[in-house]
Amino acid sequence: MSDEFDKFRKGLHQALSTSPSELHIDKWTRAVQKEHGSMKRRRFAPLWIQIGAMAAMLVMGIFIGTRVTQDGSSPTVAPLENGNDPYATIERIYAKSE
Amino acid sequence: MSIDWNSTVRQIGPRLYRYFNVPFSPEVADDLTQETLIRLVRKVEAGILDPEKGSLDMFAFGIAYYVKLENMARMRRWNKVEAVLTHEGSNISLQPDAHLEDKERAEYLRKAIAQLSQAQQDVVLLGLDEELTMDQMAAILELPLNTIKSHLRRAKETLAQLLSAQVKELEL
Repeated sequence: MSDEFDKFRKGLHQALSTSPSELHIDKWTRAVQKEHGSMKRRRFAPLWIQIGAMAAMLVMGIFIGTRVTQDGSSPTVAPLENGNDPYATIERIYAKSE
Repeated sequence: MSIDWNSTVRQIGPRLYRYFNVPFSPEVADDLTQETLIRLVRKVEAGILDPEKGSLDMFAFGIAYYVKLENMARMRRWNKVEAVLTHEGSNISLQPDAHLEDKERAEYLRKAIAQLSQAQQDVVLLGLDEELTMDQMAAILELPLNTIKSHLRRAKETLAQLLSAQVKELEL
């Protein structure tokens, strides 16, 4: 039964064979390579977005971490107690000497 | 898993072209072959089709089957538009240029295949590709194996009748 179908298929295959000049393999290959290239770009784009976002967050963190207010104190460091403030101590020493 | 697309095109492209070349003109078959290959790349690269879970050529023919159905629906719409334009007396011809076939026998066979029922045509067109097994054809068309065999048997009988009728016509 299977042999009969195989013969039938083979007969059809031979009767409807295509000449090599009809096959535009180079054109199809170019189209496939182009699509493959664009698919790769599309797949890697989110990775670059992730790297960019991480770099932006790092720069932002460094900026906030090193930022100082106008009076010289860091907003990220707890304010000094009055007793431990070196500037206040120097002012007291000057006041005594005067 | 990386795929060598150049060798894939060389291997599957001609088989797809042969599949499309029976119901469609060579120009359309060329376009549809390219369209099928591009869709295959998209699906494999997007991870929709995993080549490790099935053969690539089977996926390709599965896509080709849908591309063929889409194009047939598009052609039916165009034929309706053409009928309207012709009715309105327009001289615009939407038919593709007539393609001169060298092989008369192949042309008769194509015409005979076009007269088969849709299911028989599908089976015959996939059956043209000798590398596809009956099981793979059944999987692509989502039909039981016995149905594929019965469609193929009826198609063979119908084609024999149609071709003998054509031969008789030629002899008269």
